[in-house]
Amino acid sequence: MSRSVHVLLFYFVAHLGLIFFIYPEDIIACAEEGHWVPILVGFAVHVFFLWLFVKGLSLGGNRDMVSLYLGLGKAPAVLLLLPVFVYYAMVDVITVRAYSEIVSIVFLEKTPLWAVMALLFLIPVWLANAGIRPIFYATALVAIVCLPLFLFIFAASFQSVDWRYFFPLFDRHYGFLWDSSFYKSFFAFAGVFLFLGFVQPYFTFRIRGLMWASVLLVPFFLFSVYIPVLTFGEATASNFHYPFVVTLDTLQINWLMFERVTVFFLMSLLTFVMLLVALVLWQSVELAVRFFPRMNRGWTLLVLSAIVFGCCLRIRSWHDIELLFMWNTWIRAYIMLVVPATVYWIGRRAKKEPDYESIPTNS
Amino acid sequence: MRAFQRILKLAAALGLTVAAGTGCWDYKDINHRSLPVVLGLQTVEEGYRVFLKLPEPKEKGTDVKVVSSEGHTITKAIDQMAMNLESEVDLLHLKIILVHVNLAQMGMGDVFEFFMRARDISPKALVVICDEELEPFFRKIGQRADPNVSNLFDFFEKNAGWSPQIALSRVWQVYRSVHSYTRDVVVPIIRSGGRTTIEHIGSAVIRNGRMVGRISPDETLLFNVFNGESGQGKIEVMKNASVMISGTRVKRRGWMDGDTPRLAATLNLSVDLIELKEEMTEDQVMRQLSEQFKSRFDRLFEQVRKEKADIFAFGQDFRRCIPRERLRDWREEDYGRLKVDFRARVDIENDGYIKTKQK
Repeated sequence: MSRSVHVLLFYFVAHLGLIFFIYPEDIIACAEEGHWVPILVGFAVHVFFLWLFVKGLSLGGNRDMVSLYLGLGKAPAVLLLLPVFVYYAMVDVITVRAYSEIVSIVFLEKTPLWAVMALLFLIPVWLANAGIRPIFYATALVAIVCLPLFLFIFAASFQSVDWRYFFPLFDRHYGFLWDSSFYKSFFAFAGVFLFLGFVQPYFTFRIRGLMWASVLLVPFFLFSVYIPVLTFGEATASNFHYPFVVTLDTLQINWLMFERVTVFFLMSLLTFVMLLVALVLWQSVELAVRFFPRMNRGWTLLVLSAIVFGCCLRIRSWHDIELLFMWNTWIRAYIMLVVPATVYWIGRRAKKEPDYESIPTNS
Repeated sequence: MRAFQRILKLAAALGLTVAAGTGCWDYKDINHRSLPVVLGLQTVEEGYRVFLKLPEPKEKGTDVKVVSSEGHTITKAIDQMAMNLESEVDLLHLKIILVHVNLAQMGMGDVFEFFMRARDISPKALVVICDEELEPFFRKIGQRADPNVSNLFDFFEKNAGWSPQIALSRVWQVYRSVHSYTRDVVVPIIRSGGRTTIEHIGSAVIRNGRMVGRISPDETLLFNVFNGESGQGKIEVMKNASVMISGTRVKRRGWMDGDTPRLAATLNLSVDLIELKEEMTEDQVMRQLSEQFKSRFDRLFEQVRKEKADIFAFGQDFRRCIPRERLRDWREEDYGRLKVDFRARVDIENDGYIKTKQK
């Protein structure tokens, strides 16, 4: 098996883990009708900058992102990558906290939140300690077990859709462009793709394959929003936190021995999210160690995890998470737009330089 | 030494996971939990009176116990019961929510918001309206009930006592009708029966979470057919023939004729002949049946239109032609002017062992 498969698989499942919870709520909040427009607009933005990013990487000679930036000198590199580091910490806090909230809403209502968070966080920390290779191999293993289950439940969730809710097709005002929820929804895109800038020395991937993997995600982006809308109608769906999860709760599958498929759906997506958190932690440590080589990997990870977990515990209410989401909108824009653009620019510059050397790919 | 350290680390990590993973927080064994199947709800002077029908395990089989309590809010009442019971009340397996007719007429928007918000109540639970006081109702069905079966639940179960004249509406569907612009539901009405434990006396038309009218079981069948239930097995009796419905299909199309919304609906019925009198021919049966359905539909539609309840979800067919701002007032404005052209087409699938005349 080519090593490319692992990277693409991770890209795919990590997005799945992010799509189905907060994303539908944001999209439904940002438009009253014609939700496919904001979905596809967001997706087009993502794909364009994703392409720019990986193109820049490949122009830069298939080196990792940090060494590309270091080519500019240490101070600019630190300055440019600091937002990435901060954003990563925020991604960890938000995902761990938000997902443990979902777990406690759906099935562990009496377990204290800190215990759920500890469980959700310990495994990723342990995986991050193991390194990038085990994370990718674990992804393959988990995907074999969980993807079929996920796909089955996803297919079953079409049970009570009423396609007539698809209309009206167009939103004539395009008000979503001025709605902060629309920009919040980019969380589902921004959290994942930067890992492609870190995998290079360990794994390789083909740009074309990556583009296909992202195209494969389109139906999931669309239907994560449209299944609640088609089941309940926009007027009702806009009242829900986690509209997709509510829709799953209404599924009636008599021949299945389990009554609540939601739990299984959640479990499979949670494992994907844990892998994502693990990789994000690993990347943060990688960033820190690359700039300050004297730092010990294990201790850095430990300190970082302690800080992140402390932040998770400090967040008292859902309102705080929403606030955190709003604050990091700017950093998210930076991650989604500026980082790919600069990588592309550096890549092109590196190629023109006389001492340019390409690392041969071994795929 | 390194290997030893690694094993130690691994053991610590796994141990922690196991400790956290058991989820043993405030854990109560199954024999210390009460899992009610039916929740009854009634308004009293201050707040609600909540009834819970609890199964009680006995040495042989199970017994049924009904407890009730009052409170300002539903949770308060349930909490009070939990306090007085020797076990914890766990609403996870609630299957039926029985609402007293007065509460339904007053409006159930708040109640259903609670049911949807509550983490432990399943949005799949069925909603049923009870046409008599809940206290005597539970007492009567308690006396009759075979303790081994949950009658009330079997009554609505598709693979047990359900029949196509009974509406099946779930909590999430009623909640949807509270908010949706173009969709309402009907909810079955029951009371304790003379001979049988439960008697089904028709359905309540629910508009925006409030009961606005009643329809008969035969009319409920039409509602079910329009909502995709097949109606299979229902016996349709005419003046001098009776048939059994074996399949139904509805085709509908809506369009705007100037400013009037118009809709063409065709009901395709496949039936089996069961009984014939006075040398009826197949053609006559088909014509009679189709007229019977048409007059029934026209009557029902006239009624629900007066009540401004769109139980057939006709508004859904106009999402293409009416902008959203106008759909918001669908029930008040356009629905009142809607012209429906209903046709029933009957096919006789088979006529049993006896030959019938075609014409």
